Formats: sequence, structure tokens, C-alpha cells
Amino acid sequence: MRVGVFICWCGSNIKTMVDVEKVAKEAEKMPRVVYSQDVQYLCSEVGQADISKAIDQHKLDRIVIGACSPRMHESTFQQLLESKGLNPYYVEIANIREQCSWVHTDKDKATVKATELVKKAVAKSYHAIPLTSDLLKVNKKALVIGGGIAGIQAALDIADAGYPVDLVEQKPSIGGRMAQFDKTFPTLDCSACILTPKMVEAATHENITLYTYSEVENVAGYVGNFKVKIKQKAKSVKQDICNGCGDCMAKCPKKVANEFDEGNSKRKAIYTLFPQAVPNKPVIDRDSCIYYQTGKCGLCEKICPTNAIDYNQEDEIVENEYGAIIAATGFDIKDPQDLSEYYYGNHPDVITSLELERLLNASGPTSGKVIRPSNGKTPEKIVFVQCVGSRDRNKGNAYCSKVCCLYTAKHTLLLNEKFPETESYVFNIDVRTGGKGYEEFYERARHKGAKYLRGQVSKIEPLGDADNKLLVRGYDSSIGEQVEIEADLVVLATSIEPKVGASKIAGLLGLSSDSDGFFSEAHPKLKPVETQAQGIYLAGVCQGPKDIPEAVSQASGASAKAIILFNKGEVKSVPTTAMVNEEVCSGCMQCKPVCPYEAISREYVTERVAGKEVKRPVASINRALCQGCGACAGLCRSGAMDLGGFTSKQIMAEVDTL
Amino acid sequence: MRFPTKTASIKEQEELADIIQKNVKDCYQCLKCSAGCPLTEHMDYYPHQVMLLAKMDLYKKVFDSKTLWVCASCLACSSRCPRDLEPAKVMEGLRAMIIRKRGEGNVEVVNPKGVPRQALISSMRKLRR
Ligand code: SF4
Ligand code: SF4
Ligand code: SF4
Ligand code: SF4
Repeated sequence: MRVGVFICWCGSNIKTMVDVEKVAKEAEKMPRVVYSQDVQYLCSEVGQADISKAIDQHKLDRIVIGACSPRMHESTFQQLLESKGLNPYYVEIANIREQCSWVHTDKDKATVKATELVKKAVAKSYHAIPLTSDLLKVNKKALVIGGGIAGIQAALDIADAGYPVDLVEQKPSIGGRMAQFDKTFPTLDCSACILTPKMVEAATHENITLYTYSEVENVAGYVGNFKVKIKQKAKSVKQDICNGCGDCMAKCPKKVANEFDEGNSKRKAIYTLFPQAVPNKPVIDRDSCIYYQTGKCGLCEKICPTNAIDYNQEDEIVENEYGAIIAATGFDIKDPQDLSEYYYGNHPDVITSLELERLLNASGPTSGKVIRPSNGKTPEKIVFVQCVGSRDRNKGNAYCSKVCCLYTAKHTLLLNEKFPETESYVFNIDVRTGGKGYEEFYERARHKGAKYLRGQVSKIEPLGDADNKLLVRGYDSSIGEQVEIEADLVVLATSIEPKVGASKIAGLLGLSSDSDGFFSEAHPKLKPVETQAQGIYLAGVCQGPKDIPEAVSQASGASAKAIILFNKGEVKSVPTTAMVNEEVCSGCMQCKPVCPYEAISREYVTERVAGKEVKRPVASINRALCQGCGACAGLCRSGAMDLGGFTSKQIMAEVDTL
Repeated sequence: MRFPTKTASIKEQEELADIIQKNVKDCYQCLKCSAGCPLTEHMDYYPHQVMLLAKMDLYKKVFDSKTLWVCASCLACSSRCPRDLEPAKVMEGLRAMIIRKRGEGNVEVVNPKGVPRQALISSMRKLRR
């Protein structure tokens, strides 16, 4: 065995706190080390060439690297070894940057520690075993969860690339939040006008199957081979027969609050979500329907000219296999009710921005007229409050919701356009306008007269006058005075939150979420659409607040990742899987329940004991399922379970040298 | 201060805009003008506050303030304003409006030593004397 050691300066990252020359010198003295060198940048082409040369000249067969975290460059070095005809798992990395130079301030001590870390890596390398991955076939079909703009875009991209896609949406129509908006910033084009064609395209695309009014129930399997159960809720309307005439909706006697209009209008118990809904066929909301509650009514069945109503329809479970999954579950907005200073819920004229969005929308509850909900009159003085529940560690969400600054500017502009008499006051902490054309848009809003006041609002209360106006109290730090505004309407820019139920989806998909509940990407900079779960990608606000262009770009990014996977047609399995030493395994199967990937099963080996053939149970690993987490290896009392790349022998060797 | 409050008529707003040839609404309150002004110590409203009050059509507060007469037209603010609003020009405009109002430009110099030269000169210029 001939070990080569390479110590990286990492520019000044390691060099300033670790005497790298000294570490390289010390390494030379370690047993079986035949070559040692320090290099300014090991990950660079020059550094790689140095290693390559040393392998040839000194016939090295084990490489030990002292550098940054293996998370950064392990694969770089593994590829190098492979190209030199060595097994990629013959490289061992001592992390002397994150674990050493970055965290210490005493150069002498840090140098000693770095030497020790290298020593233990050298010891580990003696016991390295060659590991290989298997090639797994990929099922070339994708599942997209969430039918908002992100989900629609992702599905369209994959479908256009020629692969089949299933698009699952909870609501009876796709379209998501974007369908609720009136205009979009900074171009002020009509949201529905740009969204509807995409919705129709998704619905009619030969490669896309829509599952509306549906939820993902169970996900099993692994990259390339996911098995997913989708629950299609009973729509109570035979979708193939219904012609979408809408007679049933017109006649249905039961009215309930319309969630699409944020509760500010009524819909029937049999309904489509909005006029341009896709598919444009109604469903019965059984929780509201009189027939389901009392057994009476049945009016829609009588009315329907095509006999499409079917009260006995049942929920259906569909089981499908997919190669890749894209999560695009979207967002909800925070109910500002618990921020009591804003008086939301106590006065009809305090509304959320999404409610205003619906008021402005021609298909909204007022057909596009902005009114004071209290008296139906056009408001003249409108106060906007930004960061309602955003950037609020106390009662809200600590993060910035990102889009409210711009949509508030948009609202002031739209109001100014429709009703030039209105005066808009915007209370803000600061205005954030990162994005192409956004600063100019904000400028336009100021130009048109929106009055920006710097400071948060501390109280909103009824003025008690004949008009029942609201008094908004704040402080403008620029004038340096308390200010009060007699407002007709107050609009709260409410915080964006992950969709209710996102944590359940995260659980099903095995995704991790950040402390706010948004799904975590694999790497915040370099893998923003991937997740830690291979083959599962993210699109849209489920990952964090985003505007429409960002959500759409991310969706295209996520679909590109899925397409890459499909084009390749196969994936490499994780090589660092668990391994059972059948001779030692007692077959107790204690490891089986701890495996989060259900990769362990019981098998039998036949052996001759005292001249007789006996069958004995042992644990067996499905290498395609095992993700190398090591839970089983840590648990096994017989020491029969080992993890490739981290065998007990390797770890003991590390411990022993210290 | 309670809103809606407005102390400038449309005519006055137009008059200011006409003199300064700028749109005060462009100001985004970065406070750079006040940051560099050498005379803030003697002002009741700082330059950015004058800008904000002008922006909110609250001219009266500015007309009544000391600031307009303390400003030395050093142009520190104008040279730095990232919105190129030239606050000094705005001050000048507001001063001119006051001066114009006092009967046909007969400026009554109450305390000759207390009035900045710039104000006197500008009044003469504005009133074409
Ligand atoms: S986008 Fe603007 S209003 Fe919304 S949270 Fe961020 S800073 Fe506040
Ligand atoms: S290493 Fe982890 S995934 Fe693999 S079998 Fe053991 S517990 Fe399961
Ligand atoms: S420097 Fe210009 S933009 Fe900034 S506060 Fe002053 S006038 Fe406004
Ligand atoms: S011009 Fe006037 S306001 Fe501007 S910096 Fe000079 S003194 Fe201050």
C-alpha cells in the first residue's frame, strides 16, 4: 500500500491558521506514506495535475487530502482517482478548513490538530475497500404536486420535452394563487390573460394528465422509481358526461363563502372555482351540500340536462409510478387577526391585500369596483400597511415576504388609475425592490402620488364619526413626528406562509423544511431546485417567498433537472450502502424497523452444521433503497452491519491513531 | 399631525414645480441631503424633511420654518442627491414663493444683518430687479 498525502492551502483560508508545510512534513513520517506535498489550490486544475503526476511517479494507491469539507470537493477527487484507474473510494479527506483553520485562533495548536486529522485519515485509508454503484433504471414519467403557476410551468416543460407528466391539484381547478390576482407587477399585464392560456395548454397537452380535487396519499420508492398513491376526491359530477352548462350551479339553493374571493362573495355547494376554471366542470362540496347533510334537495340532479350528477361517486385511489417528483405546493397568507393593533376582523374596512386584489379583479365580488365594504362607497383615503406579520419575530414570521412592497406599489398605481381621486398612504419599514424593472415601478408609484411614510403602524381604530372611518396612527421617522390618518380603507400586506399541509407533504416526500416550514433545497446557492432526496425537486413559493418570474424560472429549472434524469435513463445508486456480514448476523432483525428507507429484509442462508443442512435467517440490504444513513450499522449488536466507506474497521483505525 | 392635511393649493404646487423644474415626489427619503448639510444644527426642519413636506403638499410648515433662511445654498445636497432633485433648488423655489407673495416683490428687510445674502440676491433675480 502506497499512500500519498496532499495538504491544501485553500489560498489563505487554511494557510493563515495552519502551517501547511509543517503538516505535509509530518505526514511524510506517517507509516506507509511514500509521498507528501502542500499545494496552493488542490481543487484547481494545477492541484489536480499535481496529484495525478504523483500517482504516476510514486505509484500511489491511496490518496489522503487535507483540505475543505468533503461536501465541497469529495466528488472532484473521486473523479480524478477514477480517471487514474483507482477506485474512487480510495480517497480520504481530512477537513482541515471548516473543522480546523476556520474555528481556531492559535496557529500552533491548529497545526497540531490538522496533523492529527491527517493522521487519522491516513489510518482510515489503510482499510479502504473498493465500492461501486449500480445503475438503476429510471421510470420516465414525472409527478408535479401543485397546480399553481409553478406547477403548471414545470409540467408544461417536461411534457414539451416529450415525457408524460401527472399534475395533482387539491382544488377543483388548477391556476393557484396567480388566478386570484388582478394585474401583475411591474408590467401591469392582466394575470388571468397570461395565466389562462397556460392552464388550457396544460389541460389539453397530450403528455399531461390532470388530477384536480386530488391529493397525494403515499409516496414510496426512490429516485427513478417512485410509487405514489393519489386520492381523487369524489367530485359527484361525472366529468366525462358534464358539458359545463352551469345550470346546476345556477339552481343550487345552498350558498357558502367563496374561498376564491377570500370569503367576500358567495358560491354554491356545487361550483367551479372561478369562471375560467380548468377543468371547467363543477364539483359538489359535500360539506356544504344539503343532499349530503340532510338527504333532501337533489335539485342539481333534477336540473342537469346530461344526467351527470352522481351522488354515489366514491373517492378513488390511483397508483402510479414516477421517475421524478416536483413539489410546487405554494403558499397561504397569514391571517392578520392575531396582530390586534390592526383591527382586522373588527372593522369591515380593514382588509388584506389579497382581498383588495379580488376587489380590483373584474371577475371578483364587486366586478372590479373598489369599495369600502362597510358602505359600498368608493374610498378616498387608503392606508397601506406593509410587513404585516413579516419581519416580525414576535407575533409573525421573521422573514421578508418579498412581494408585498411591489404589490402594494401596484395597488396604489391601479387605484390611482381607476380612481384618480384616491390618495394612498403607504407605511413601510423600508421598501425592497430587487428585480428587473422593480425600482422603476416603485418610482412610478411615488410619481403618481403614493405617499410613503417610514414607520410601522401602531394602532388602527374606528374614528367614531358618521362615516365610521378609521384612524391609523403611526410615526414617520422622516418628518420625525407622530402622524394620524383618517382612512376610508386600510389594506394590510400580509405575510406569506407555507401552504397548510406542507409539512405533511414534506413527510411523504422525505423532504426537510426550514424553521419557517418552507421546503429546504439541497444547497442554497448551487442546488436551489434540488432537495436532499434524489429525484425530488422544488418549484415556487413552497421553497420560500418568490414573485411570479422567479417561481416560473425555478419551475423550468426543476423540470430541466427531471428531464436530465429522464434523458439519461438511469441513475447511479448510492455506493456507500450498508453491508451485512452474514456469518456474524444473528438474524434478530432489530435493524429492520430503524431503517427509514425500508431497505432491510429477512433472508435465509443454508449452511451445513454438524453434517446437517440448516436454514438460518439473516438481514439483507436492498442496495437500490439503502441511502447509507448508517442507522442499522450503529444499532446492530452483533456487529454484523457495516457501512461502505465507513466500516467499523475504518472508524476504529481512526480512533486508535489519536 | 393628522392626515388628510394639505396646505398647498394646486396652484402653489404648480408654481413650485414651475420654478424648480423638478418633481419633488421623486424623493425617496434616503436622507443624503441632510447627511451632508453643514447647517443642520441651525435648522428646525432638515433638508430631507423639507423635501418630504413639499412632497406631501405641506408647504405651510416649510414656509414657517427657519430652515429656508438658514440654507446657505452651498449646494452640498444638490451635488449628492441620488435622485438629482437638487434640494437646494427646492429651498430656493420655496423661498421665491414666499418672496413673491409679499406684494410685488417689495421685500422688507427687517434685519439686514440676519438675512442671507443669497436670499436677497435670489429675490432680486426672481423678481427681475
Ligand atoms: S416585501 Fe416589503 S412589505 Fe413585504 S415583507 Fe418584505 S419589506 Fe415588508
Ligand atoms: S444504512 Fe440506512 S438506509 Fe441503509 S439499510 Fe441501513 S438504515 Fe437502511
Ligand atoms: S438626497 Fe435627494 S432623494 Fe435623498 S432625501 Fe434628499 S432629496 Fe430625497
Ligand atoms: S444647500 Fe442648503 S440645504 Fe443644501 S446642504 Fe447647503 S445649506 Fe444645506
